[in-house]
Amino acid sequence: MQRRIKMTGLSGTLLIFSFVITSFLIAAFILYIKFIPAPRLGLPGYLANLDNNYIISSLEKGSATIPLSTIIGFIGKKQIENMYLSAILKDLPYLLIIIIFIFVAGAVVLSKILQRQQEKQALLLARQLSRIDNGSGMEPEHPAIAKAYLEIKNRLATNALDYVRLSSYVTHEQKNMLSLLRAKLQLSGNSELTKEVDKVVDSLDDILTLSASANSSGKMEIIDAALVCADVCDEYRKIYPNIYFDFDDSANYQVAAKELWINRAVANIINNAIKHGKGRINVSVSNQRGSIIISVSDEGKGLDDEELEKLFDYRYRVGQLKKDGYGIGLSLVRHVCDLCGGLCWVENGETSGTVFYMVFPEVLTIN
Amino acid sequence: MRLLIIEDDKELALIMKEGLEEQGFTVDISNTGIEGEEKALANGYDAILLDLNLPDKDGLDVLAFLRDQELHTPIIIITARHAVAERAHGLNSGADDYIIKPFDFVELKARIKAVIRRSYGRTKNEINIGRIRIDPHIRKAYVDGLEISLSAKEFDILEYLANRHPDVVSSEDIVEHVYDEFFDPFSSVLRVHIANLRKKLAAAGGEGLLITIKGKGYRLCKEE
Repeated sequence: MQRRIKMTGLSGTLLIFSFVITSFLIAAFILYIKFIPAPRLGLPGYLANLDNNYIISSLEKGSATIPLSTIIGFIGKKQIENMYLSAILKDLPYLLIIIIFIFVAGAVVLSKILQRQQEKQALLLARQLSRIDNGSGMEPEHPAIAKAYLEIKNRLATNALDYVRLSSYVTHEQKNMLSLLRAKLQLSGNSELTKEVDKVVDSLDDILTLSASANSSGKMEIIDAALVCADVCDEYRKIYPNIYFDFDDSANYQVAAKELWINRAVANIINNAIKHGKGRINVSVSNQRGSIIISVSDEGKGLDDEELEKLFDYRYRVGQLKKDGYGIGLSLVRHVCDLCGGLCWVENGETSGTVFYMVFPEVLTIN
Repeated sequence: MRLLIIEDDKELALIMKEGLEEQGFTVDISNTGIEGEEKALANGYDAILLDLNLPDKDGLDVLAFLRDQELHTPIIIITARHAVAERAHGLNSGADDYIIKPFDFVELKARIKAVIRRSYGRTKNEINIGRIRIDPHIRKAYVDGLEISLSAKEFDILEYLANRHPDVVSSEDIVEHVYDEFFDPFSSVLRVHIANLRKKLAAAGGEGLLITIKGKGYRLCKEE
């Protein structure tokens, strides 16, 4: 899924912040103006020396007459304006303190909001970067981030391809040398060492399978899952005769995969069943509504719920090899299922032991 | 078709094995005469390639021993002894053909196929069983003239069943003639191959041409 990092959140926040601050200032100004009556600046005024009692009684009566004897002077328009200006300037420090307080408080709130947004963006970026290798893709909007992202992505893809090519080259070279060694051992009649060489070849095949990726492994083949399972059963029956293979001979078992992958996945599950399961091992292949289901059951002691949950609950990483006590086997099984668009899980058997399942989509071909 | 090479030169034997396996044969090797005799009597081969200069026993003695044991498998002598008298002696001792080293691989393959064909009583290369036609030379099979796409092993199984027609052929018998000595006679793979072969015949309109006789084996039918 393509996701875009949104950079519009920052400008939106700034816009809202500016709007709030401006609103506060306007509101403060309106309130201030409201509590100071506007002077009638167009009329001249008189200065009178009135007694407080007289003023109170006049207010109570609702009308006042100013005696001429109390008038002590005349006041002009300019003087009244100066008087009001003085009154405003007297309150100015308080006004400035309020404005500064609003700005500081606004800045603190803004920085918190921006910090949270930045963290959100960073988390989103980190999440996308963590998926950079699996092709889920991302298109950062910021040109510099987009450029850096693409560079990292390309570098990673090149490194991954180099890694696959190298491991493929090395394992093929080793297999060639082992083929020669095997032929010489066969000529000398040393069957014991021949078997040991075969084990090394199996292990190299596991490495080849694990190093394969959906992008690097080329075109998938149409393979018969039942035939591969039967082949693996035949091979393992030489060392563990208690393996039984079952399939419905009228169903189609074609899947898109590579024979080596399915072979190694099934071989690893059977190998685990022999090591940990004991008893009769049943390998069954069935086609249920277009899903090819491979199951391997054993008669061992089974696994507890926690083990069952965790068994496939990780992706293959070198650091996790052998941590599950099952070697690289189950990592490989899951890797193969991921490569082929399949699923795998494990359950405890109805009476005893465990049942491993792998499911792949059926492929129909026209013969 | 399964072959046994009795040849003391290990490298030559391996080269022959690889070359013949590329042609669709299944090949076992013995590097001594006595081991060759044991394998020839124990397994069901379609032909035996026998060198005369063996370390423990002369090839002609091996040939005489096998014929004395009523083994009717075709035997081709492959040797550097090229004198006419020697060739005549070999053929008179029960060999079906005689090839002189160094030999051409194409000729070797043709001669092997010819002796196998004769051993199954056929004079023609093609095998026709009712609606099924098999051309072993180009390794193709047809149902009502329609080619069916078979894997190498499916073709080998069909060819062997056709050669043995109208017999019922057991799994063990098929394994003996289609796989090498290391193959499990109770193989699961064989069951899958037979199932796939039956499905492919059915898909080409030949449903019921390959039947299973429970407890006995498999048989090709002329008609459904």
